[in-house]
Amino acid sequence: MRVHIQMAILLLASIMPGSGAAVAHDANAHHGAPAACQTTALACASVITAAFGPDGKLWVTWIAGGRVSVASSADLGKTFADPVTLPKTDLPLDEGPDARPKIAIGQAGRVIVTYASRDEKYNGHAFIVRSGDGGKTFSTPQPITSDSPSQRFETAALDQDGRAFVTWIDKRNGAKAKKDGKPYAGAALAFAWDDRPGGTLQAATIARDNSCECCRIGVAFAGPGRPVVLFRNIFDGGIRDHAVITFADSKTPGPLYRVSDDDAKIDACPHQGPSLAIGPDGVYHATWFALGRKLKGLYYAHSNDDGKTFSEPMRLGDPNAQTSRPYVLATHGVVYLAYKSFDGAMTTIDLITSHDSGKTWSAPRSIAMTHDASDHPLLIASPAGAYLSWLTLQDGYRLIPLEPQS
Amino acid sequence: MRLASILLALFIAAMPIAGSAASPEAAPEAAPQTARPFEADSLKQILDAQKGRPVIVHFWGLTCSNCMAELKDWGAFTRAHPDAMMVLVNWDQRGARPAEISPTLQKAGLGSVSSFVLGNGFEEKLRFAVGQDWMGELPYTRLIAGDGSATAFSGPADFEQLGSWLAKQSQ
Repeated sequence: MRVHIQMAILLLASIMPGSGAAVAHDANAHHGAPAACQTTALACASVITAAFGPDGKLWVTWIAGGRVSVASSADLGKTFADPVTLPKTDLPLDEGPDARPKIAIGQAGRVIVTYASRDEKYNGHAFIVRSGDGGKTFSTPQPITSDSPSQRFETAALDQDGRAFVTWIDKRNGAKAKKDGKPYAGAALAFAWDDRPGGTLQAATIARDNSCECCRIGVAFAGPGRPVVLFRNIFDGGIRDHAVITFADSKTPGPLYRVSDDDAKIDACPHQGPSLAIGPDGVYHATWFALGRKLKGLYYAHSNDDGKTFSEPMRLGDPNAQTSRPYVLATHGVVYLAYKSFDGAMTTIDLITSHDSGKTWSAPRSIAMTHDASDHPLLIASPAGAYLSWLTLQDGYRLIPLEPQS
Repeated sequence: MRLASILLALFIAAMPIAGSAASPEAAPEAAPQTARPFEADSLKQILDAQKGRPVIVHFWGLTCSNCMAELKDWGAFTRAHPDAMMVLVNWDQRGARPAEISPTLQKAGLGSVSSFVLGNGFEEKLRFAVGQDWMGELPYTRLIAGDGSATAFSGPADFEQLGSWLAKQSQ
């Protein structure tokens, strides 16, 4: 039938007089968040990231109306103080499937927010803003680095001493290789410490070349000044499996260890990065989405030797239920692991728990559900408990306790 | 909408084709397609309309560098297999730029291929309707045989294999 239409068009075209310029338009294409919701309000958010402060106050940052906003809640998300909307970026915000603004809360009213915008070539431009007065005012946004064509999946995390570590996926070495006519797979894992609140970060250091370019990064700390980073690496032969790097000290990324042999020989963007937690006992808990020839789906493994070796990967969820977006949290003597499942009509957040540092796990328990679009599930700890932080189109923002409330 | 796209196609087809002689590779594009929204029943409609002919459905994204790298190869493949039924579905999510879909496909020599864009709303549901085991990675391609049986692969295509699959379908 298509051939007939095309022939008819060609016939008609041959008899029609030539005309002026016409521009093909995507007039029919429609997309994204509901058109009615265009303000910067929390209710219009497309993604929300949350964290608790040491005083138990909940902090959230979100993207809505093309801006990043920040607000706090003293009653576990029931009500929020007046939000602060950060300055508008010159370029549109990065709203890729695994991108989101991030927030870290320190002592004495310290708040750090990072986020990225993207240019017409989809290069990321990441920024950091800080507050020293409990989020009343924020410093002028600073680029996280000055000499890179693209930074994405930026994450700021505070170590046990309150020092801020910032890491991201950086394309400077890839761009240089391209200029020199050399091959370069993926991007690179970069980091810098934020030792001058309000000013620029330390100069960036590339911790590792050839990381996957399209996934979030997992960050935790083995000790003060010793970040641990879990990310999708590109191993020899283009294998995109997960790897962990533990810093020997704040300046020195340690050796890279493979978390799992998924054998992901694939030049595809999974848009699903890993999650990492380290308990007070020093055990590493890693969870990730595998797209390999050996492993496919969601997996969990733990390491008792600072990330050198990991346990046999444990499969999560029902392979036919589109399980995705796993997230792990180790707090209050429990390891919590949540992930999304979809059965064709309903999205469910399932939770499993371990009370022996990841050796054995409970059966999955559904803790939240929705029948429409939803953000990734995130797990956060307050001084008193553990929570699921989840945004759904139907119910808005929800903070759900992981332990049944008495 | 269908009428509008046919009218637009007529309009563009009626334009004088300038410069095509200078580039022998750039065959005149017969009917540039505008991207239609891909909804939960779109794939079924496409297959119903094909009445048992094999269909290649390729999911891609402007935000996916691996997709962009092989797009022109898909253009070459469609030129080499003009009778094959191809469908392109842009699966960029939040922050998508739908206005760039048609010009990008035109440039890759895919301007006349049937083109869709991820519909509004519940991405998981739309994806589930395509393939229960598709986790949203891009590029992603589903090969649907005349009897409705489907196979899928993630990542760049092996066009030689794809050609063999097509040849097998017409046996």
